[in-house]
Amino acid sequence: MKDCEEYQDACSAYLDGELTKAEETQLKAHLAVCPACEAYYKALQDLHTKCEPEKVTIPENLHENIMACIMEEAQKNVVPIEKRRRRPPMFTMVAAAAVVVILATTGRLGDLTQGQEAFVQDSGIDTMSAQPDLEESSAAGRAADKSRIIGTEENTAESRMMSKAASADTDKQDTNAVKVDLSQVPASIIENVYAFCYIAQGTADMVPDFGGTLTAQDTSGTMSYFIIKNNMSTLEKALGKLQEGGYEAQPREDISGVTLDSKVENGLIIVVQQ
Amino acid sequence: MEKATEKQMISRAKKGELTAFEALVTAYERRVFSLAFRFSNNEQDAQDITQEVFLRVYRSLKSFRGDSGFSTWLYRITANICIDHARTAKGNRAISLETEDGERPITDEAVQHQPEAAVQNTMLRDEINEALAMLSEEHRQIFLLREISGLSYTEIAHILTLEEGTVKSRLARARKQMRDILLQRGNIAVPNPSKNTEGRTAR
Repeated sequence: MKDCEEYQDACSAYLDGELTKAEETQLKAHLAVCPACEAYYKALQDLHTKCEPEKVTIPENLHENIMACIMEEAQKNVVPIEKRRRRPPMFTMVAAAAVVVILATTGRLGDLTQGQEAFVQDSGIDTMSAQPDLEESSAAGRAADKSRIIGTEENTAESRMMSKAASADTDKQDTNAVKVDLSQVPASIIENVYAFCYIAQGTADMVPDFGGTLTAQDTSGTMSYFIIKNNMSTLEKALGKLQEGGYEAQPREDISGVTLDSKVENGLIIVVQQ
Repeated sequence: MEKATEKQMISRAKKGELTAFEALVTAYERRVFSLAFRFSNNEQDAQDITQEVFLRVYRSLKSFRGDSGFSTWLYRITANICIDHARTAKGNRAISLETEDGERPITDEAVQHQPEAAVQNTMLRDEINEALAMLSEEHRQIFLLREISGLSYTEIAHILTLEEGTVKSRLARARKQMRDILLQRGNIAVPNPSKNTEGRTAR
């Protein structure tokens, strides 16, 4: 360093702690003997103080505005779910009620209940972790599902209507690229993060035992949420078993409400019985 | 916020816990707003920028791996948004605002956009922001990145794609200009007592 101009340049770096020890010693020695440079350094310090964020008054509602913006973003994934949620349960409830009437009149209710029990036993699904009311709702849902088969078998006027309504609903879903109504992802599923998400679709009445733990079901009972370990061989085995059982699985990353992170312990398999 | 608490908040916020994210907002909103305000010289723009910053942080928090500190990452995002914003605003603004040598003349913008809540700081914001408005864009940027966001020379070099040596010298010039402007306007606390000694060989 030679002249004051260079020392003053060094003042800037000194203020930022970006000088070497040697440069710092040299500058300090100069500041002790040069009032102009010392004043310059003090002016930079003063400038620094004036620029402190505390010197700026932040708008009163800044925090609220930021958080409102974040909340809106956080709910972006949830809103479409709520919007779509309104329609299917209405249909499902009416359909389930109608089917119960049909079954009662055709005397097939007993058969169906047995079928349901067989399903639970055969599939070896851990129903302990499922919500207590799931079995009931899944029975109703399954009844709704059965209606299509029964409808064609019995060929009654009511069941024809049912069948028509059901296929209309399916058509609606088919036009959607998703092909699966994912509007009812349960809250317990949304709350967690998964390593992967697969959707396995099939028409078979029984879901093969693929090693997953049944964690939740939608109200219609056609969609079951299974958790399996994030492990390549476990996943491959599971997908193999599902395929054998007539369920074609596809990886999905676009399910709103389902957060993915490859590093977490568990993965999600949504089994859709069509 | 302590580093350990901050780390914990980040990890919780990553899992989607909004209250944890809010704690991060509380810890940094003032600094982000200050930087945005100094950059844009306009309170409404500064609010918009601040919101955009936290929204971007929220969206990309999952990809934040902690290689650099959270604050560095946050200020880098802020700086980038401020710079982008300045470019857009510059495009929208009349070019005549810039003088031939690229320096911006003092404008009444700060006064025009002053909301009532900020009146108590009027003097200060005029002083600093008006001085800032007189700097060239490159000096203003580098001055703010260092003075407000406290980024290191390495970080600034990275953001502005400059050599570290250039950061050091440009920052020194920017500070000198700021000091000269404030001195001229009688806004700096320590006047130069012996101006004549300046530029003289010290040894």
